[in-house]
Amino acid sequence: MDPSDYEELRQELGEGPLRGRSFPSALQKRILEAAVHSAPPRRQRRFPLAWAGGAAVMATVLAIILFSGNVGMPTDLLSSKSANDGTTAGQMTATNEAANANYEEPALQTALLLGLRTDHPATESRYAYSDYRTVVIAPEDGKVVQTIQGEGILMPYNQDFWMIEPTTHKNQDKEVQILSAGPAKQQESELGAGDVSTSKALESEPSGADIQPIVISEKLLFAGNRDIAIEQEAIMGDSDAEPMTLYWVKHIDQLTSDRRLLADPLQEPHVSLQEALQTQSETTVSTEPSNWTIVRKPGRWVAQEVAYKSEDRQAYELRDLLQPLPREVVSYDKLTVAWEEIWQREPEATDAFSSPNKDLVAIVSEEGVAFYLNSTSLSPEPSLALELQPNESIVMMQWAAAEGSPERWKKLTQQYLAP
Amino acid sequence: MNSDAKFDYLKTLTDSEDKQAILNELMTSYGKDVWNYAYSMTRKPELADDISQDVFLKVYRSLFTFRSESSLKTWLLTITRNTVLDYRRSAYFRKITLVDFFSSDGGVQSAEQEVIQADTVNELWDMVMQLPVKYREAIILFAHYQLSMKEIAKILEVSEGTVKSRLHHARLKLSKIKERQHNGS
Repeated sequence: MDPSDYEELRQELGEGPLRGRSFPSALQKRILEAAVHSAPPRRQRRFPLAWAGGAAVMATVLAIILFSGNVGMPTDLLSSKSANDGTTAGQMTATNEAANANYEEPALQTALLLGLRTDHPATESRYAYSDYRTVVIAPEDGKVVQTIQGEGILMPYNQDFWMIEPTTHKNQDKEVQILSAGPAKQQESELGAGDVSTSKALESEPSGADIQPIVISEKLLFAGNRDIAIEQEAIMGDSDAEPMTLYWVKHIDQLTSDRRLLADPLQEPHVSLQEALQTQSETTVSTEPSNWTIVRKPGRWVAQEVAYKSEDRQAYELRDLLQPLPREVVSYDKLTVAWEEIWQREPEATDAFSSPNKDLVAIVSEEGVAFYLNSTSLSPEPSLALELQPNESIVMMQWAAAEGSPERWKKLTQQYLAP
Repeated sequence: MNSDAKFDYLKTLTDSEDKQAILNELMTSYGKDVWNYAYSMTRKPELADDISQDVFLKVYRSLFTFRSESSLKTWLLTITRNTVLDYRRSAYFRKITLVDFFSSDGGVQSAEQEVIQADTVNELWDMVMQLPVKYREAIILFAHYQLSMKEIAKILEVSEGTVKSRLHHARLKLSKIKERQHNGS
């Protein structure tokens, strides 16, 4: 286009778009009133020098991962959704046809580790608990396939894999599940992921007289490059009071297998928000615990700070932080396909993930995860569909993208995950 | 002094400043930018109101997090875009607007399109608002907000080459719309 055309555009679009309608003063007043009743902006808390050292070490970048999925038959559930959505399906037909005509299949260079958590409510004999599974999606004979799945969360860490899994303990005759992590072990010679829960079962019993909080449930919210986010519920000894809720981000090696139920959760090591965002100052000091977490919003992981409304930490609010999480924390986390195109394929999509090579896109809806090949556009139909169980959600999406990595992952995960 | 320079103090904000006064100043300087972008993305004035409110409350709560890596305007437009994407995800929003997002540049005009035409400041805006959102936002960031390719690429999270490509396609589509309207009149 002629540069003068752009200049004309800038002139004609300089004002507008609407005549006499934009940001109204009444709205400005309304926002100001809402701000009065909102929590005031707060400077983030400072942390001790020791944290600063940790932040410097944290500069190490972890491997990025890719992968590809298999080209299987889409499930009825996923493929029938567009047809059931009368309005949108009709609107999108022409667009889809045009996209399909131009679609070229990509050369798959990607593998994926998908981590999932299923929550279960408390019962008479145990507090609320969760099951975990890892699904491996990788290219095979030019297709995208699910190569294996197994219990626990198998997380790539440094040049190897670590396994995060629940262990069961006991508190006042009720079973409590907490998390434990360690280097992944080969299934042939070691206990499987689910076995750890059994082997360590019921080994700790608090006296009930403690004045420190005791964790009664713990679940994984996010697993990434090196960090994990967990949510805990804790009670003070045998108190009948409502449990407090705690959110932490930890390095995976702060969750090693000798972790005990009796440890005070407020004193356990964790990653401060400032350390993660690399905003802490070397000269400021605070020993306050840093309660924050990492949650999934459509198309991206975001940090949320916990604002407690009372000292007992029972009432709280989670606030989005605008600063993006660094790659050291979330690894690759960029959605490269427009939502418009995603909704054309999956009208009920609630989330989506793109591979670093942009050759595979995982689209999430309530029913499951549909894997689409991607090149000039998304493939017309999903190449693989993974059904989600009720109350199951994604806690990890790690890609293997470097040359040779998908094959290496396929081989190693076969050793580490129980079939 | 441009608006961004006026708010240079945000980079070294202290606890003593009156944050509500700052919010008010920000809205006075950038309220239209935020609202216009939200409206351009959604084509719904009421939704643009709600999104603008969400954006400025987020900004208010996060005043300390602004850093000098990006301009204030780019920062605000990025927050606006992310907030729009969050709205687009919600069932309510999708129910009332899905038709708009997937409408092509052809076919019969909807009642809403007629309303848009009645209110827009000129014919070119009418045509821009008919573009698919991918091209619409690229050309609006370039022409209305007069951002650089680098700034647009950052907001859209794509490469500068992709921005150029989208602008090119937006221009071609505008020519087609113009031609169609000319033939139809």
